[in-house]
Amino acid sequence: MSSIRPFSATDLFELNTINLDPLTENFYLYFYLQYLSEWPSLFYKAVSPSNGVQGYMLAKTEGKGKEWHAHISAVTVNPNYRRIGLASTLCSSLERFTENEPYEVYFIDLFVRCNNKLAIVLYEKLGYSVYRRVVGYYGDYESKMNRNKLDDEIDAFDMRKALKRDINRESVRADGRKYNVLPNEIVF
Amino acid sequence: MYKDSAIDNAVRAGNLRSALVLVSKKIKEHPNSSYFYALEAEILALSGRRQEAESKANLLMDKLPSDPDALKLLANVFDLCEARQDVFDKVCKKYPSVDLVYEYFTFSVARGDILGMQKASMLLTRAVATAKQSVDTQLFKFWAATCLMLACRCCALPPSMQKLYPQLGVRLMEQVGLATAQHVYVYVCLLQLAGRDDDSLKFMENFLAKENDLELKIIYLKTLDQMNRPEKLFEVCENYLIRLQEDDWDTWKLLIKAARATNKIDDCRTLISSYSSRNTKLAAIELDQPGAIQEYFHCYETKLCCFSDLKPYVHKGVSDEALLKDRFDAFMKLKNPTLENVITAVNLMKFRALDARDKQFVADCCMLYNKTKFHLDSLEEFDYFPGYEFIILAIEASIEHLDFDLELVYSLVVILEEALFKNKYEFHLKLWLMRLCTIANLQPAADELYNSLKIKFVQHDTLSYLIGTRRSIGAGPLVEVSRFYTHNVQREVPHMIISGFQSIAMNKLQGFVEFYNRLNTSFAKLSTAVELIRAYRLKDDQKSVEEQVSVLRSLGDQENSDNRDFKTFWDCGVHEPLEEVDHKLPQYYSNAHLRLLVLRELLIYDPESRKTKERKKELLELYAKLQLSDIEKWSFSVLLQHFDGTEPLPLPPKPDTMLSSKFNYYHAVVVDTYKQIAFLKGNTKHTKSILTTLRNENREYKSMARKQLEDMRKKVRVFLKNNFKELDISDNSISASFAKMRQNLDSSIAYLQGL
Repeated sequence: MSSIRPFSATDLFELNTINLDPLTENFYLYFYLQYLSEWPSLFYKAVSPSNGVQGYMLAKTEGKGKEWHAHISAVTVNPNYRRIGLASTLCSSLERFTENEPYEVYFIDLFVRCNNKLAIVLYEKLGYSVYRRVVGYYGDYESKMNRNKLDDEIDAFDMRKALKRDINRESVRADGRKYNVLPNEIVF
Repeated sequence: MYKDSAIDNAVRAGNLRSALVLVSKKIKEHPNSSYFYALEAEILALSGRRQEAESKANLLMDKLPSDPDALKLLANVFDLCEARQDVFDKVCKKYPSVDLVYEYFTFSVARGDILGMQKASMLLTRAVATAKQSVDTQLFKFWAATCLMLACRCCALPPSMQKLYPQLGVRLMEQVGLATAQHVYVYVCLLQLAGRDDDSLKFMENFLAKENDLELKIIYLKTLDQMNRPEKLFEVCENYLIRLQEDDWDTWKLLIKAARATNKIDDCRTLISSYSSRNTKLAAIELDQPGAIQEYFHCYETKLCCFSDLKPYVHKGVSDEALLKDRFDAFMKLKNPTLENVITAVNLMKFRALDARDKQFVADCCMLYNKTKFHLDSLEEFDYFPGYEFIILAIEASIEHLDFDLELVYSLVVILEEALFKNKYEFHLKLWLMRLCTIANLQPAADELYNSLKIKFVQHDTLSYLIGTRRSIGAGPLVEVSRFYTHNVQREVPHMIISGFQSIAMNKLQGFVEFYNRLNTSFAKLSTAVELIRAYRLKDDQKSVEEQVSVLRSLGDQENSDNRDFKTFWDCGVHEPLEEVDHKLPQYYSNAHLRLLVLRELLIYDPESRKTKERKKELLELYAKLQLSDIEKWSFSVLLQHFDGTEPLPLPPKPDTMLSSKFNYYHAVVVDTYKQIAFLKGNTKHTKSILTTLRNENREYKSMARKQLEDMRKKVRVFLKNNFKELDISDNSISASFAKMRQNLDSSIAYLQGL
């Protein structure tokens, strides 16, 4: 059983079952608090009846004009609650929260490591598609400078899902895997 | 950081006399600057001349200085002198300029002082109304209303204020308007605090009709439930669950509750069956639908959530159910079970663990681990192997029915190290191993595990107890833990609370302030300070001791907040602490025990306090009440001899094995007791002779420890064959594990020899 609840700063005391996982990043306090402060309705959790945190979504909005969108900064689930669609529930909740007032974004995007096939399949099932490859996104300074040196380990796919405001689906494209950009070229 | 760098350097270096000379010069140069008078008072207070400091601070306060930096210093002086005053409040009433009142507000935020924030924000509304600067008056009214709400929710207010504040807040919000969800949130909360729940429902309903705000939705449903409006509740829940497709367990629960109250159970069943999800399958169980548990199990037996989801609904003897037995038999027939099959088996063993965790259970867990561990050879890095839970279940059960002695502890260390060898990121295994290493005399191994988990920031607050209780081998990772409070909490959180006000994230502010205050008064912060004081005292590092003492003093009379996370340790197996297992494991500090240790340090290092007499009394009461170890009792008796001249207890005998952390702890406590008395300039003759005897003996410790470890290795080899033979751990693995343990034990003993 899972319920979606707003995230509170004091929930940071309760995240060990999720954040001790080696793939989940622990951020500085200000990072979490900034999300709570700037985008209070886009940071929420899935909880059990005893209020145990099963997973959480950390998202924000950014961009101008038709680039106005929601960005998933982190979505993560306790190993005991994986493979039951909880990440999907967290993602679809974000769609509900951002496609209408007060946000009304055109699309949602996220970055995923190119070699994380499991996650890519999950996002594709949820309607996301690759918009472009961000070369060297997870790499060092040097790898962020050469757009022709592709490496699945350190490159990210920028995946997007168009929402109802994007009537003509201009924010997505079918052949996104062919487009390579450098991290410094992504400006909203 | 003071305004004058020379004074700042002198204070940081602990050279307070020199700092006082420098500040006197500054006062002569700037006789009209309140800042340097306040600084002089602070340095006097830091020097222990508290009466003088307080009287100078009072003299300055009488002049109502309006320099915010001087006021911050004065506030600190009064704190150091244990005579807390709201200095800003007094001055701001006289000089209510926007800048000064804003400083008052930020100062109150930095102290996590909600009442200060409330007073400052009300003053701000008045200050901005008459200010010449262009400021958003509505914004400050919104801040003030929010602070009134926070004060009502978080502070113990007198009944008159509890009545007045919400009314005042409602009036302010009616001037501000209800433009966003945040405005509606604050307004609704204030209405409810004013007892106007009916009105609050109307505003929520109107707002939720145009904007789906999660926070307001939850308050709305909760209010309908509390106000006993089941018809409406049913209708609203149906809207969220069916029309908006928000598959939320709490909403299902409320729907069921409303259906029961309105005789709509059949409608409810229809809604539940209208779509299939994990929550609807559980809702069917909640409604006692025949076969619903079996239906859920069929769908989710290969998911790890299965056990936790069904646990509230299963009865004693569940493991005898034919369905579970059949599944187990089917699993046993599989030659190469898939990972999904492994999860089913894990779930089955968890159900069985609810009924009996006997010797056969241990054997079966070990057999299942052995049967499924081939998956570890084909997993990619970071992949998850659910079979590790067989090991945890076996460990818990074996602790429950075997004697909890060092043979068992060292055997379990070998088992866990073997399990971690190919599953190196499994954190439950690491948490268990850490706990066992701190029982065995292998603290360096526990520290290494702690570091390998990449524990950072707030995790230090919740998890450092694992390596920080009765620590007897240097400061280690606790230095980093301590830095978290001074570097991250103090520097990041107050700034973000202000940012929350500026961004009008009003529904998050209570959480922000609670989070900040829980960190400032944290159990781990205090226990880390206590452990570091001992570690630094043992190394004669008085400056570092003083730094940690100031941490203890800063808590004042506030109660500590125990943020330690004991849940994650037990969040495997049957997902709850097992009393039969837990009581056999050495316990961590209790609140009372920590308080006793804090009082000891304050009596030693803060003798000028006005509370010394009360502290002694409290310490004596706790000493008489608490169950302390023999060596701790002895240590306190020596300290009490110094204070009261009572006869100390005889020194208890040394632990006979060096393979237990009690051995190091015994030595650390003896040396530390000597150093406490030496600092107090008491009679150390008796303790010094004990120390000399210990030091003469400790030359042989390393070889003795190695011999004891080698004997233990032989015992463990036999023990594992007798009790965990199904795990089939090779002699080579045992030897490799003991080789590592030898290094860690050597480090523990070397530390002790250096004392």
